[in-house]
Amino acid sequence: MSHRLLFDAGSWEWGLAAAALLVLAGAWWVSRDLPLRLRILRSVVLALLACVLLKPSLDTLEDRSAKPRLAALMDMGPSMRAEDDYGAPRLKRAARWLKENQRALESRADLSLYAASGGARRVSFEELERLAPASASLDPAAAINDLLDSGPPPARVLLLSDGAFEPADSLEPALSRLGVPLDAAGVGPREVRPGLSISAAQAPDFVFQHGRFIISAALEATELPGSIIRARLFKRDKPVGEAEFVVAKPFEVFQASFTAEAESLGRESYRITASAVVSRGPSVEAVRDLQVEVIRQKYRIMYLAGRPSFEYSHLRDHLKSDPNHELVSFVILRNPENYSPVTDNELSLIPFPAQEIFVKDLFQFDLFILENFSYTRFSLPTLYLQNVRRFVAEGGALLLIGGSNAFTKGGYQGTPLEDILPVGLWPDPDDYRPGLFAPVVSAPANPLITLGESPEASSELWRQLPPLDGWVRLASLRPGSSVLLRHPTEKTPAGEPLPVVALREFGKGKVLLVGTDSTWRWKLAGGRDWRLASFYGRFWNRAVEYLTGSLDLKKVKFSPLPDRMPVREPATLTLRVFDEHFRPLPGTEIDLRTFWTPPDGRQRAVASFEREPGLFQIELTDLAEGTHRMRAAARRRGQLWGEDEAEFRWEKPKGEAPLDRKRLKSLAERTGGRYADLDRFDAKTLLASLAPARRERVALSRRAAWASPLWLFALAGVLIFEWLLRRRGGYL
Amino acid sequence: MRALRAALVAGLLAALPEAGRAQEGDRFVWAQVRYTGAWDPYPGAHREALSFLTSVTSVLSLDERRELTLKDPLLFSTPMLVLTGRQAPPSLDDEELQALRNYLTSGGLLWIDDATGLRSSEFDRWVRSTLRSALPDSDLRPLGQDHVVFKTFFLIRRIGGRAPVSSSVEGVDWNGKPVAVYTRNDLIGAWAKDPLGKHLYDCAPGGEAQRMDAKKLTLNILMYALTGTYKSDAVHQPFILEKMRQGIP
Repeated sequence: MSHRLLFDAGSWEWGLAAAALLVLAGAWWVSRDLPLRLRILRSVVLALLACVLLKPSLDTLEDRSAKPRLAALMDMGPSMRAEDDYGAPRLKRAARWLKENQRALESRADLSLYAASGGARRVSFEELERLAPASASLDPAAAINDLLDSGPPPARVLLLSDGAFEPADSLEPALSRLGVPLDAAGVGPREVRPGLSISAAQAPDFVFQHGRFIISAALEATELPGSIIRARLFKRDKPVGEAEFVVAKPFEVFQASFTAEAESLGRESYRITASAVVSRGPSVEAVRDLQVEVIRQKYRIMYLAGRPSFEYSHLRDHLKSDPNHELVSFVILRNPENYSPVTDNELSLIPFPAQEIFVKDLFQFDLFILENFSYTRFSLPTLYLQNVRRFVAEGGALLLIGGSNAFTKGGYQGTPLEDILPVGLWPDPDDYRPGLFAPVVSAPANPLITLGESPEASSELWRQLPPLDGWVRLASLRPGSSVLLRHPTEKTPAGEPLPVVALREFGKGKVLLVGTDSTWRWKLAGGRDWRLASFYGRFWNRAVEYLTGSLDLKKVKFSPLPDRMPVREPATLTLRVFDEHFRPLPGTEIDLRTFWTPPDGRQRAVASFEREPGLFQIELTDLAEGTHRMRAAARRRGQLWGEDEAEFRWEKPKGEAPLDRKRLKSLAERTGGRYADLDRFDAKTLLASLAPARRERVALSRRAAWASPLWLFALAGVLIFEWLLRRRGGYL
Repeated sequence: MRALRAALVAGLLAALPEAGRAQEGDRFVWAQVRYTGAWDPYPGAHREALSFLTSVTSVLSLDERRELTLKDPLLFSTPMLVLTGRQAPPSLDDEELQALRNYLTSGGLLWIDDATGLRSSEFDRWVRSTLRSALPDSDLRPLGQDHVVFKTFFLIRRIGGRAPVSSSVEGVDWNGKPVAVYTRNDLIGAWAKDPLGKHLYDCAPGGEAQRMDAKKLTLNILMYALTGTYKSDAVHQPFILEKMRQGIP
């Protein structure tokens, strides 16, 4: 053991010290009249000051043997999570190999461990056991640069990887900078079999009804060169898209994109299948299921009125005033028997687009309103009404509004339309009766009727309404139909109360019958009684929401979860909260609570954060294998606004990606290193390729003498002693 | 039992607010404001207008006219009101002004026709003052030539009437659409006939063409009440533009 004195001063500190010595020389000459002892004391002060500026330090040295530095780079990419035919995840196998060979490696080399996903960071052997694969793949160039920047250059690098990374253009400069051999140990399955998997199947969480959207998936083909992969997208067992790919490499990833159209509200299920025929052996297949939540962007409404009326003008005006409604309306302004006092050019009339309404465009709408429209007056073919029936059966909504031409007189008796009505029609064409009546509520709990804040308030509102004018006589109520409002005195031939407003579900759609065309009276009543001011709008809004299915839709919804949650953590779930018009409802207006029940069955509250208004995100970590359940409940204005539940299954990842020996071998050979599978990788061979240890003197410790307060005390002591001498000698 | 039930129903209807007792079924009713003074300068003109309406369009109407004051509870069962006169009606009291405001803002439509045939009249001043008091947030403004009132049925290029006082139709908007329409050319006067069916008044200087223009605008106003802004929908525009481009043959 030996010692060494050195000065840590920088250039400006050396300059200051030189300046202090110059001052010392000048002071010696200027104070030549003073006694020598005083001059010596002052010189000592300046010399001490100059010495402190030079930052003197004392090193304790030791002679020892220096081992060559070996850097072990551990691939932490997502594919290292895979379990191969060794029964353990690749990362664990690699870590175990390092641990088993730790003593041997450290006996001959100064070993440094690095974890690499994207770039690299140094880790200890203790951390090594706790490492988990990351979501980012290894970037060899970034990892090598990080390794070189973190300490002395290594003599050799050992990369433990499955080769599941893409070499970037920056790899070559990084290898040049490294300048030492890189050995690669391949971590992966012993044998590679032909395989096909669908990863990263993606679809929007929510799509708008009638909108088109993209569903994409990554197809991973292993050992299938020369094969053709056929990918198909199914919606309820009906193929909606297909794509083919020719495989050229032993391992190749293809991106398949399909365009789908959201047809019906609610959850739509899709299935992606992929298959490839292998020349020798059975074909390989893969399947992924996913779901898409279809929400409404706008209610698309077609409104056909048989003649101009106050019912038409008010209802059209109301529907039109709501930006959520996309309304197309036609009203028959003139009948064939009406005469024209002017030429056609002076009329704003357009031809009645019956073909477009009943055949071409009908199925693009959510709601079809027929108000007081005579079907027979225009001699329309029965096919048109069959289309309306099919429209409802397939999920459309039909609203029939009364009037003297609306039902039997309009020619609907015995037609396909009558079959889907909630009522049987009156046998006689004279089915309309003018006259005032106050309808009676038959179904007070029905959401179309409960328009007040409470059932009592709703009843009071209905009692306050002005009477309606004119009703349609009906023969009977069909089984399964509901009467919401009835005439106070009129009966059907069977003696039942005469329905005024009745509804029925037919097929996937709904039919609402309003047997009067005088609801505009409810609107004007708002001028007489302010409590009724919004009644008309609320009734028709609710009716449209009911008919189009929006009333049944949840206002709080988890985004559809995939059939397999992505293996990375945190697992991310999203939740949307809507208002009554299915616009996003910001978190400031609701009290949202979310709960998670892991497979152990113990429910716990989890936090959510609002990513954008109405869109909330939940992140789950420490996922256990099994079924997880989620529940969300939102309260608005103190009342439950909506709730939703979802569940997903989380499984440990299975090995799918192959070991890319070719890539790793190429990388090693470019640096003069060598490649071997991990189970055949011999640590002794690696160590034999390292240079022998050399003797070198290393500093065990360094003592910064200049930082000691003793310097300060010494300076102060000399100055005080010099002052006392001058006082005693009478030099003050 | 049946008699008892009928009596109960009769009692129930009798107990209904007076406002709900006007019956019209699904037919159009000509409702005219009655006030102290010359509120009805052309007593039979409405029949002529309604006859034209039902002959030319698919609208059905009642022959009987409904006459009511602004204090009449029937006001809020009457979706369209006609007000005309040759002299200024009495100033409205607060109750009448409030009723008029409530009526216009809850969906009612008021058509005012100046029957004086004068460029400056007491009636005109009363109309402007009354509408300003009833709807102080909105101004009476001329309707643009492309306004839907001019194309609800006929494509109107000229404003007719018994006396061509103004070349425009004015309106007061509420929620983006006119709730009061004001014509100054005595449109209703152009309809008036004597018992023998001869027009009572000449339409000068345009003669019968001017009368026809008055009839067309009258019908368009009634159709505006019954169809709203229907003819401003995009689906009609190509047809209307093409007809406007072709002009009157």
